[in-house]
Amino acid sequence: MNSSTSPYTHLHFPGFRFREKEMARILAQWDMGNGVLLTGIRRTGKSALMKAALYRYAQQGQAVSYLDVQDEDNLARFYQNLLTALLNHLPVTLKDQLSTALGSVLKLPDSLSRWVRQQISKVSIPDVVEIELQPQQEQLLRYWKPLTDQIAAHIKACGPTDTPVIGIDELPFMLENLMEKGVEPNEIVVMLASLRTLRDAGLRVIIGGSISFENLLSMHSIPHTVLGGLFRLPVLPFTRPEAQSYLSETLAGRFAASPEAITLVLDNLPDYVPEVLKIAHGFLVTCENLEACSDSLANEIMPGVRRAFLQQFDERLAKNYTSTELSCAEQILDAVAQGAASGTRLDGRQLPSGYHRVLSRLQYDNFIVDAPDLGWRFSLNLIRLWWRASRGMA
Amino acid sequence: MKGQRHVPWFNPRQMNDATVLALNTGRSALLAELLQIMEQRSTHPGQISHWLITGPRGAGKSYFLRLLQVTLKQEPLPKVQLVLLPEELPNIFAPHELLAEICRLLEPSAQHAGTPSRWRVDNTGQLWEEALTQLLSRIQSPLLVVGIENFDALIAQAFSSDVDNSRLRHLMSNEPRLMFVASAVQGDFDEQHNQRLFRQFDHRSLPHWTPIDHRHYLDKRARQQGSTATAQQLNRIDAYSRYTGGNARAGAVLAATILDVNDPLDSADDLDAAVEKMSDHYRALIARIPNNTKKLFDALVRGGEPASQTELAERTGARQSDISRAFAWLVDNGYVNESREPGQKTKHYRVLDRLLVQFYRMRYLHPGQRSRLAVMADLLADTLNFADKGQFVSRNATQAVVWHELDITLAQAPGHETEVISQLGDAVADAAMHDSPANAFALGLDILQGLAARPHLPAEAALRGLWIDMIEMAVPWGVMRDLLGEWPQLWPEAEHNQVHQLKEVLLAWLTKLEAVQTGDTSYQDPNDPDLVTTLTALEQALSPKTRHRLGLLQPAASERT
Repeated sequence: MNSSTSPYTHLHFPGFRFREKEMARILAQWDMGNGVLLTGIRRTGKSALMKAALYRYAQQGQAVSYLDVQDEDNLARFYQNLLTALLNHLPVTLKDQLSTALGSVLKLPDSLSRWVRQQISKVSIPDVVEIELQPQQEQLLRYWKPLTDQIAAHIKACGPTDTPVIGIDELPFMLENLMEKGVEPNEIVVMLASLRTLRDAGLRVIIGGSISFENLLSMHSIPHTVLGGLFRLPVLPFTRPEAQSYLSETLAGRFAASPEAITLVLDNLPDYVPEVLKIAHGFLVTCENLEACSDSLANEIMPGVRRAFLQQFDERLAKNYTSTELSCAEQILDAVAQGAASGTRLDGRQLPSGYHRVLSRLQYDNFIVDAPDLGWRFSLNLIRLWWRASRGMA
Repeated sequence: MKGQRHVPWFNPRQMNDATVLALNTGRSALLAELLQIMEQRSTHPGQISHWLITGPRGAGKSYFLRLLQVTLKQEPLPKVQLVLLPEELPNIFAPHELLAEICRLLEPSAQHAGTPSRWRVDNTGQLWEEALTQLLSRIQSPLLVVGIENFDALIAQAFSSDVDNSRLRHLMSNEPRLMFVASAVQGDFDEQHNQRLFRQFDHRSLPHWTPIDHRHYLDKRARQQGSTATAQQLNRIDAYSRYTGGNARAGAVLAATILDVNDPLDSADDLDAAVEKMSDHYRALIARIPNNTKKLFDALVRGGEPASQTELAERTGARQSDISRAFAWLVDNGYVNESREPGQKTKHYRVLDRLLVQFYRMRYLHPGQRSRLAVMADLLADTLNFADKGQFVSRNATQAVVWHELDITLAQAPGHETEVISQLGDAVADAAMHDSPANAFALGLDILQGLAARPHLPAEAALRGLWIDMIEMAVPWGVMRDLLGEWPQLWPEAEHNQVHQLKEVLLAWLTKLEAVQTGDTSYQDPNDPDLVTTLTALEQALSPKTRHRLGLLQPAASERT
């Protein structure tokens, strides 16, 4: 796991756009001292949004830190990196207070104590390689809770704007890694609970992941309370005007940027997920007339979109569901497909008992997502069209 | 330019730089786009992207990476460094070993053989971090581009676990100084929604060679061999380019055959030779098709193309909704092309690579046969179809390929010339059914012109057989009559009296058959009793089914039911 803390150029992507509304909401939450949980299907731009929001906040003079933890399978190392990111950016007065408290109130083993003090007093000087002490990992695990309690108490005393905003990207993948490696669920609960303790004290975070955090917790019977207090922000596909602007800008100077070509493409794409537009862009760059665009849509773009976003759903149904679950899943998907594209409620009386578990699984597998008014809808219009076609509803 | 004698045409790694540049065909636009992205990445660190070049075997993936290498050597980008990894990576079985290999090749002057893969790796995380630190410390420029072939094999070999997958994904998402330009036959390893590494690459499929690309390649290759392509050779590659599905390897094989052999009659069969040379490739393509989808592919080829999904459902005894998912696989994986006639709603599908179709027919539909007669009608109809859609081919090129195919067939079937030519009526009927009467007429005229240009062939018997076949296949009466109208130009009456007598007979026959079929009561048999006898004899040559269809016989009870 690497942390990219300073400078912030690695968080800056000049081509990032069309997420001003989401960006404003994130920054407003941070200003109020709250944390944010980004949700949405894969490749919809959650990580890009997280980095862009952190970069924007850094430009406003706020301390930020970005941790991509998708390949972390060591809980102690995660704690170590989190502490480093947090303690490095505390204001000097708070560092002094915390340093004193660690010496007098909290009794830590000597090596751990020295490492924590080093993090607190560290001054980052570019191009200067510092000799790092390494904490003993068992000690970090053993003393994590009292340590975070102590840090939380000090953060709370000084107010949220004095602490950095920490982006933790791909946290659900890290949880999967830990579970795969045999880390006990109660240790994971401790980790999430300690994060909540820090958040409640005023540490502002933004958490994102390629898979649904909430459903992952449900699947492993971990209470959702550990996510309490987070502002849940769905990252939706682009709107049509946004998609139009995206294609116009990225295809500028080519035939496919002409209004008639853009209209043709947008009329035929089932969803305006950034990745779908990216796939389209890749083929449209060489299309020199409308017929070529049309041919590319039929024979290159839509096959590419289906390969990326559809085939795995078919395989997932066949492989991941027992015959009983499959039957229930098909009933649920049929009911959702027969409803409006924007979402429909499910009548649980018409579904087999225990359907909630399959529903949760379908959500976890990204078939369906929440819709307004306690309803459900397909995560992508593409999946809805595919399901309807293959179930004789077209 | 002096020709090179020993050019490793299909091994770009061993091609010298000058040859790589000289043979560049149809790849300039893609290369320019990649160079532009590399330049952007080297100046905007946050703009992270990686490229995956996909294409079937023989599409030119290895060549493209070599072209990139040579181009950067000739015209370096100031902030970009390139490392091209070996084609196979037999020493990389753990994530950190990839980084170590990149590191080794960054300093080619050292030329050490690298480290063999560890038998057992316990702490992949730590080894990865160490190798990454070392690699990053060795990168001299703002952007290191790493070219890796068969990336799917590398993933399976060294990044199979979720955590390892994530290590690579983490690196690809966050390290601004590294860009992968990878290649693979398919991009599916990066399209698994439930895998960590999902759509981390910008996928670019190598563009199919157009007919113009085929011509350019033949021309460039002839110059590499120290010669110049003749007009006939260019016409042949132009016409054959319809059958390659744009596959560069197939195009190159055809170009080689055309350049190496001057006499078409001695060349055996260009298409058969190309199919033979690529049979492993086609077998692998067919093996990759999932079972249910394979049924649909078979039904498409066996039952005739193009076909709609509704027709395929009928052929396989299924409902359209039953087959939609399985059929989508063929479209999504580039096996078939979708087309729609202007103003029509129904989509028609056709196998993109026509050589694959020929391979399939030769191996599975007509096994053990040379297949020429069986596929001739389709080849001719295909060729005409391409020509009439104005896709670059000239009328002369069409004729050339029609008669080139025919010459080969005739040479292989001595004594059966009449039978071979007769069967071409199927192609005319096919063109009439799937295209238009005008196309059917054009194809019929091609056949007549070719026949007229070959006085050694038994024209009279062949023409009689051809007309019988066209009537059997229900070619429109008007088309057959119009073709008869062309005879005076093809066979001057003074020199070909017997052919013209046949023309009069056939005209009379068409008049009679059309009248009988349409129930024209005003029709009367000719006054000449000999002609009546001749017409009756001709009718005996028709199958009972056709005679029933035309109203010459009442259908048998069994056929009525």
